[in-house]
Formats: sequence, C-alpha cells, structure tokens
Amino acid sequence: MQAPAPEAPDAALVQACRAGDEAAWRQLVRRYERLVYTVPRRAGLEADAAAEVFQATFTRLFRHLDSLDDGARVRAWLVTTARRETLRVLARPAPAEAADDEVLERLVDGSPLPDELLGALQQQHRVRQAVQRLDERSRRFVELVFLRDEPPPYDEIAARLGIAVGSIGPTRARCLAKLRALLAEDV
Amino acid sequence: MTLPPEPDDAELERQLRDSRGLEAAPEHVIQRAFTIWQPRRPAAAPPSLLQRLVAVIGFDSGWTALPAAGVRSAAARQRQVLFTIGSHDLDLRIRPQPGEGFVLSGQLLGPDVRGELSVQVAGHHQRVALDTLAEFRFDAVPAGECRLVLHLAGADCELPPVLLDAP
Repeated sequence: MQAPAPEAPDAALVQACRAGDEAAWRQLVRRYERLVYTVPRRAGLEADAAAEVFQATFTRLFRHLDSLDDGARVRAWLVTTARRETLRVLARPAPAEAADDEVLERLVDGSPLPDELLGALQQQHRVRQAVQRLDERSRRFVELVFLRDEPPPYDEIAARLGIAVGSIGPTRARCLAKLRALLAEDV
Repeated sequence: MTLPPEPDDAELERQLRDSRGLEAAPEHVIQRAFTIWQPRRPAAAPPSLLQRLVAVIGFDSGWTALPAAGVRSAAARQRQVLFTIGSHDLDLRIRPQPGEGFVLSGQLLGPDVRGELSVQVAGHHQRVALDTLAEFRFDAVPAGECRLVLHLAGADCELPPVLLDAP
C-alpha cells in the first residue's frame, strides 16, 4: 500500500488509517505529536505524565477512527481528548511527598487549559504545518528568522541563504504571504 | 472552537514565534504511539450503483418457541432468518402479533451499517432507517410473501422473499 503524500490532508490520512494503512497512522502521529504533547505540558504535567496523556490520546484516536464524523476535524478532536486526559491525570490524588503546589493551584482554579489557550495552540500548529508545506527556500528562511530561539543576524541569514542582506525584507514579506495563502487553504 | 481570522504580517510573525512553544514529544514517546497500531480489516467499500448485490439466506430457524415457560400460543413463537449480503449479514426476527399480523425486527451486521430497510407485502409498504445500532423494526406487517429491500449508499439489495404465515 503506497503511503499517503506528506501533504495529504487530515481527512485523507484518517481515511487511509481506516483502510488499514499503518504508514498513514505514523504520519498522523508525527503530524500531531507537538500539539498533543504540549497540551499536558502547558497544564504543568511532568514529562512522564505528559507521555501518559500522549499515549492515552492516540489510543483513543485509534479506537475511534471509524466513528470520527469528519476526518478533517481530527485536530480539534485530538486537542479536546488531550485536554480531557490531562484533566483526568490532574484530578488524581497526588502523593503527599510529590505535591506540586503550582499544579494543584491550577486545578483549584478550574482552568488549567482554557479554551483560549487551546485555540492558540491549534493555531500555532496550523502555522507550523503551513511552514512544512512551503517550498524549501521559503521554509529555510522562515525557520531561520522566526523559529530559532535566537535568530542569527541578517548578514548570517543572507549568507546561509545566498541572498543579499537588502532582500531579506522583501523575502520576509513574500514568505509570510505564501504562509497566509497556505493557511487559507487549510480551513 | 472557532479559528481566528487569517492574521496580518505582525500577527503571523507573532504566531510563528509563539509556535516555538509547541514542545516536541520525546522520540520514544512517539515510537510508543506507533505501537498502538493493530492490523485493521478495511471497511468494505459501499456498493456502487454498478455493483449487483446478491443476498442469500444463510440460516432459517423456522418457527421456534420463545423461552417463556408455561406459555402456549402463536405469539410465543419466533422465526429467525439470517441473510448474507456481501460483507454484511442481516439478522431478521419474525414474531406473530395477535390480531395485527407480524412484527419484523432485527439488525444489520458488518462495516459501515448505515442505510434503510423497506418491506412490501401485497399492498402494504413500510420503510425505516436503521438506528444507531443498525437495528430496525416493522409493526403490523400482514401475512403473505414478504419482500425486504436493503437500501445502502449507492445501491439497493432485494433479499430473497420470506413467507409470513402463521406458525
């Protein structure tokens, strides 16, 4: 069975999974690993607990592949499920010696994962996915300028990409326009 | 959860920078999620209009007594007929309904069980949608040669006729 194209839309990946395509499953996990892992981490869970949420979320996805009404909604489904699994873990009685005051305070507050935060994470995921669909030169530019913790100076960026320093501004605008077009396709 | 309107350059740049906060899952966590996969039997493709669905009777119990101790009546009898239609099975139960003909009930079994079922006996016609459990029920179906038609996406399948007669 031929693996789905890397840029295959979510609905196509879900359909391929339903048809028994394991490569599509792996692609789906890879596509959403950052988003699903970030949800429990933003709620303050440590790495082990976040991994548990991660596994539980994708396990539920696998079990519900056939009942997903709309494969294109898998992103929202995963975020909702990851939140539910995170809250389930947070609601467990914490061992006295491992009490995390910050986590407990958030639970008491009742909003460790407000809708606004989850909406923002989904949008960030969309943006990152759009970056992956850029042409290679544009993707390299965006990664250098925006996705490094410390972007290199312009002359280094220009040298790496083989462009004039003066063209960085126009290149930036063109890349953002391409990203915006890709985001408009992914609704 | 609605998506925000498409961002301008400043907002898009902000979202790009914020997206650095999307934390990568450790590779061993990703690999473990891969192992969730189990071989799946692909759901059968819905029959196309070009496909001719052939239904056969796989089982017919004839009239059997229902397990109700001490009850002797025609109403306490049931007949079960099992049809095979491609990758689906249709389990049909027939029970007399005193003074009102027969109750036909049952369930469609198999992948993607969405559709409708219709019954026609002489001039009597009913059509029902399968419920969320793919079950169906017809009440007050008169005696006679009963023709059931299964209506799936893209194709209809007429089941072999079943004679509804008194047990």
